[in-house]
Amino acid sequence: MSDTQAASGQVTGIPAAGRGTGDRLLGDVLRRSGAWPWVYAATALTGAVVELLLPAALGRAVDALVTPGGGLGQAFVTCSILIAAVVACDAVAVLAAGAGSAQAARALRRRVVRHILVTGPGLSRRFPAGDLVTRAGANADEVGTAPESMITAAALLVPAGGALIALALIDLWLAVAFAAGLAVIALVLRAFLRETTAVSSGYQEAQSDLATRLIDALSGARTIAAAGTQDLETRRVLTPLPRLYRHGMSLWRVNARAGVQAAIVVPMLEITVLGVGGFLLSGGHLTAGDLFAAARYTVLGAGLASALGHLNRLARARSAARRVTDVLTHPSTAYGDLRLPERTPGGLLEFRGVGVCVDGRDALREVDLEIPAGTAVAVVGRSGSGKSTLAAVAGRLVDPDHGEVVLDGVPLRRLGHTALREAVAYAFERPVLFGTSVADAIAAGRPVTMRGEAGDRRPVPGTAGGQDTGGRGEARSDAEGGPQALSERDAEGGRQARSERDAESGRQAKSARGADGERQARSARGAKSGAEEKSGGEARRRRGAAIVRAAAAAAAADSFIRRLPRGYDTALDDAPMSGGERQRIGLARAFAHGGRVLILDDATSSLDTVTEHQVARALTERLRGRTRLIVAHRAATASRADLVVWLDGGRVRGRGTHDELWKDPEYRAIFEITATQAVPEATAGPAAPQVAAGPAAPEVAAGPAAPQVAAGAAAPQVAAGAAAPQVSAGPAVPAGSFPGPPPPVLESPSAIPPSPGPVADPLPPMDDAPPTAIPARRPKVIPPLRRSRYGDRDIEDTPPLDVAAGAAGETDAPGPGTRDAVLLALGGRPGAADEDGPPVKVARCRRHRDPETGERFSQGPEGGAVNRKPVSPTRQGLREAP
Amino acid sequence: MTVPGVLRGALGRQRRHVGRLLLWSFAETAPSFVSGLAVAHALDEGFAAGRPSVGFGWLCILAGAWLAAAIGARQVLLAIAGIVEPFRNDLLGLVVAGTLHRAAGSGRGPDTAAVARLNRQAELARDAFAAVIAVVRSFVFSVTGVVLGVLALMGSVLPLVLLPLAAGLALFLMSLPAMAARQRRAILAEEGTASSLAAMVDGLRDVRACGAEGRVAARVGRAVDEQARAATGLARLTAVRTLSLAVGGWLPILLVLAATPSLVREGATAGVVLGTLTYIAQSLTPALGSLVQGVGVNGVRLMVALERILSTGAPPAADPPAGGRHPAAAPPDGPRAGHPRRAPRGSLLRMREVTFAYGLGAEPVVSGLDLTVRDGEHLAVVGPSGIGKSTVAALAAGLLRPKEGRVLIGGVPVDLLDRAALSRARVLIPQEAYVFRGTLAENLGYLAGSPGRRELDAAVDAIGMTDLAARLGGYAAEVDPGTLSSGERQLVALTRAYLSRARLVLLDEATCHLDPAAEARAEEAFARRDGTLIVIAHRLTSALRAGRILVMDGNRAVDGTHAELVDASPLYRDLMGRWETPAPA
Repeated sequence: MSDTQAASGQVTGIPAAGRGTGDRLLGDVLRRSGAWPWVYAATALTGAVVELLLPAALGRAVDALVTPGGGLGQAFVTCSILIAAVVACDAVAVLAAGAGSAQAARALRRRVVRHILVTGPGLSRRFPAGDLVTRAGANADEVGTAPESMITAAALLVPAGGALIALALIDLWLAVAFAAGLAVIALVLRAFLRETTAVSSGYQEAQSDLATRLIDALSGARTIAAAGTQDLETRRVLTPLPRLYRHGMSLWRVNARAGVQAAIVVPMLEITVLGVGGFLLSGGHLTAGDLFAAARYTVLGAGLASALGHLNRLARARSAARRVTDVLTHPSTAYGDLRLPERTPGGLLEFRGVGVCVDGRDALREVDLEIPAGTAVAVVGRSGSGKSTLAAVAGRLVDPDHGEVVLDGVPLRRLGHTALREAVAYAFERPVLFGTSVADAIAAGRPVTMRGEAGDRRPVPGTAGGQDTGGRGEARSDAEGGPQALSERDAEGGRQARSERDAESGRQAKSARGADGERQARSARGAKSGAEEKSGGEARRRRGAAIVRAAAAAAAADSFIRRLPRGYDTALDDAPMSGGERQRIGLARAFAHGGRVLILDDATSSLDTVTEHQVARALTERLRGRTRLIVAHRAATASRADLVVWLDGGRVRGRGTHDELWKDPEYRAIFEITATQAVPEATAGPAAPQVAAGPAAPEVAAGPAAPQVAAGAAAPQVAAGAAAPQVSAGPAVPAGSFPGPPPPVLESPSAIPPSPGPVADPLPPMDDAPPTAIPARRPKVIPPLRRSRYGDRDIEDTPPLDVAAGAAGETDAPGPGTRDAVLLALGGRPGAADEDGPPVKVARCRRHRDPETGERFSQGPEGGAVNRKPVSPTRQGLREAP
Repeated sequence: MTVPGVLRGALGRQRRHVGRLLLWSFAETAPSFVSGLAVAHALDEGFAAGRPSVGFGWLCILAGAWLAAAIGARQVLLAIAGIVEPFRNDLLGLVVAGTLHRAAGSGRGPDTAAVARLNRQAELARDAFAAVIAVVRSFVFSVTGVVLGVLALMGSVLPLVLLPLAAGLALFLMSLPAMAARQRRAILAEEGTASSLAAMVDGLRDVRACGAEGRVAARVGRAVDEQARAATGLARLTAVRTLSLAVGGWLPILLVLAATPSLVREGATAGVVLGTLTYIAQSLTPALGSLVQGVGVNGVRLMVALERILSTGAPPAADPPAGGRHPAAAPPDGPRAGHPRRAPRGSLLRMREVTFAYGLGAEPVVSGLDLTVRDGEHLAVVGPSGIGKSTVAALAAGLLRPKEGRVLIGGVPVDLLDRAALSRARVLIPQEAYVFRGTLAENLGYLAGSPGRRELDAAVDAIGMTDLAARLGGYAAEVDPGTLSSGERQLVALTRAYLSRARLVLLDEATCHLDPAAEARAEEAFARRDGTLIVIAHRLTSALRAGRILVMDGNRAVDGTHAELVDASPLYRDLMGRWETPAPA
């Protein structure tokens, strides 16, 4: 636990890592390593001293024993004792060094791991992933061995330095001969180091060439399989082998040369000492025993080189400690202790002056937004415009550098860890899955405390601050400690608490949000009737499995999961998945979550038309009621959303419905795919009619003018069709030559004015909307509130959707698409979309402060010409239809 | 292939270097024979006898032995390099061949990190092998040298030296299995920590999004603890092992000292005693120490690395189309290249009652599929992703064997066609286009030998990659796949397929990164090309271009023309309908 305190103590630490902080960490590690380092120090130093005494004792013994008539005397006993001591010290030292560094590395690594987890993805902004792994892995090891290195270096210095003194004591000339030789060793070692580094780069290049070729070939695995060219490819990949061999051999040669030099220096040193000693012996200054001792001391003294090597290790440990300290001093995320107020529907998300700085560049600047509870909001913009950053701060994956994100009145920073993660679910473009099986990977999305959908267990807080008024307070205090108190105990406790609560919510779950919620509820009821008196485990397991399956079905992943070798139980490692499949597991994980906010960061980008459509339907039908923030690249996605937020250069450039924004050519330009390969001349070939019709016909339907848009037609090609310059040749393109049945009479989206085209205005004003535009398959209910009323309301006082909310869960009533009054709830920045220049900083306008902005917001990107809220035909129609 | 087999093979293939190694080992271990003798004689006949010049002479002999040893050491190291460098190359060959075959079998390869790990294993195995060769050989030669030296000095001392050595060696060998087990556990634990750390860092964002910090910390913590436990266990056993070194290395010294009075009575001089001690201290103890270290650590490392490589790098038991394992040089450019028992006639594709599942516990992806695609027909396959469209393509191409039913191309069951015949009969272009480092011509002619300039021009023009070819610098220009966009890579792959001689073309979402117009152009080019075209549709527009459409829904499949399917398939209607039925008023 003290580690934990230290880790959280770093929260306020300043990421300034100097030499001193690294050394402090080393000291820290030493202090926390317990008794082992001291045991090691004691045994290593004792052993060193004994080792130093031993040659002298042996020499004495030899002298005594070769003297004829002498028995096994004192000298032999001394030798025996010394040798026993050397061996004993050696054995204990080995154990102490190994166990000590293992424990030190373990403690440090656990601390680093906790800190990394608590600090979160913000860390990877500063450290590349591989670097972070090195710091937590190898560097932590090096720091762990620092005490050992320190002691070893000291323990080696004793015999090495002592040997020199001993030589000098035997005879000064021996020491002189030794010192001269030693200088040579140092020079050799330096030469060796220089040469190795020079040659190894060629070797590494050949290595990486081979690896690159292999990776290239692996990316073409299916092509190679189909063409049957495995052996050809093997040869192609192995092309750099001869080069690798050549460089490898020259590396060995350098090694060999240096090895020869190193191997010869110590014996020559010894022979020199023997020579000098022999000369002294013949002069009667030395005995035979002295000569033996001198030879041994020479060898011991040569150990100085390896003592220097250990000092080098110590230097490495210090730099490793600095690198680890860099990570540990990175401020970690602190969580508050507030909970969310119980609201139905919850999920009002506000951005208040949010700014995020990435790599010294503003990824988001001055973002003020309100996203009403239960609505679907698309975030669009060119790549690099800050979409993902917006998504990341919306659920506190990272903290904004300025401003605040507020969920249902509570700033995210002040929410408890559990409360926050219960509320917000994420799906990503490239989800990283964890867990043992596919089912486990999906279940990982479920918050630690399963959300009781009914909400009847939740205290309704009196204030927006959401003070905990008891209820689950006890359970909370444990889980809510969150990662700040990460420890095994907490994790275990969390798991226990979770399973208990799972059981409880399994029994209590009733009306759920959306269709999957219904399935959850059904399965929960089944579980209740079947297994209530049995242990809760079975019911919980079944309920969990049902949720996982329902979520997978909503994410259109169920069918492919069932085709995996072991279905849902297939281990993740045994389930190689394509990008699209992985994406769907990631979606299922988010859908299984059940929180009030769902954030999709480009999470359907790899799905094909059909699948994307299925997922889109789930998003608009099953998952309605949750606030959905959807980062999108496709026009179809934007057109389905209740509201579109258009980001440009980190600022909100525009907001409104897709239809409204579509009038701006720059908005339309966002959806242009890289159409460099589009071939206008293709129309010359026999394929001409189709070529023209193909891209244009079906996609057009999804354009903003199409009535079906709101019905949720998901056509990823929309972007292509809409944006391809050739198509925008105008309304002439329409799909007369469409080879299938005649397409609906639709206007090409490209026909939408900038300049009023021959096509009817796709964005008719509110009252002119053609009711015929409603597809029959989407019976709609009139939202109980008239849009215009929202403009005057204060969101905080009157959650705008409270009226509609009741219908959402119970009936097959309209999704948020119908009660999307939405737009008006948003603050606007007049002039932000001014095309004359970069948006200038304008006063922040938040709707609940300034009722007028509702009006102002409705200024379209065209520059304020529309002073009235433009409404999409569909939405208008929906209100008028029944 | 077994680990000892691989090692024997590596030594057997490099007999010349092994011989060189043994020869130079005599020189390298000369001091272990000379040192005691030289010291003894230098003392007895030189310095102690008042004849320093004789003493210096013996020391010069010793110095000469060390010089010879140094030269020998260099040659020994080079001989070892001569053994282990080809060994490393062989291992890399195994890794590459195994990985490629395996990836080709499953359609997916390991990721970059896995490739890097495999390469590292090969390096580790090389270094460990070199170390093991060095220490084992050095130990044998040193002990031999010492034995000979001691015999030359005074034969009766020999048991005093050899018996404890044998005891120490026996102790070491006894501890070896336990040592190896712990060493292996330590290596695995270290890798476990590294990989769980890497997984954690990769998933930081997702971990936080799921609020799973506690669970992940516990999981990584378990790996960290395991590593610490393994390291501690290793340290404990290493401490015990120190005893075997003590028995083998220190005990002889005490024994010699204890026996000295009686040796002296037998006529041993101070020089003889000193020489014996020199042998023990200078040759025997270091040799034993490095043997213990080398075999106990590097030997285990070598075994673990080799097991890894062999398990990932073993050639797969059987390639799916393994009629005859051709060394498959460049794809055959005509019927001359090989004669299968029956050559397919035309490109009629027939799938009869085909059922396929990916595992025993899995639902079948395809069940009882009957499909006939006539020569010259153009079929599109549509359905939600993951429904098994690619599986159907792989089955049709003979890359997967159906659990039940048969697949015939041109009247010949695909399992009777060998790799070469199969690739003459059909071409499958998958979604992930493969472009390799090489010239554009090589890339385009991958399936067609060396097509002529005119042929290339025609294909490039038909597919619509003229601009791309020009931008890349013509057919002779080197292509760096990293600089091409996905769409550009697909154009290369499509042109390559267009150039192939195969009459049956399967495009498995091979145009998904092209824009719709480019996709239409490429598909039209294939439709005009002689033969059969099957398109796994990424966009539904592909279906509208085809004469016939196969709709996959669950594990059922329906085929027909567009008009038929609108009537017959609810899924198809659902897919198409939204665009076709005008909104009812």
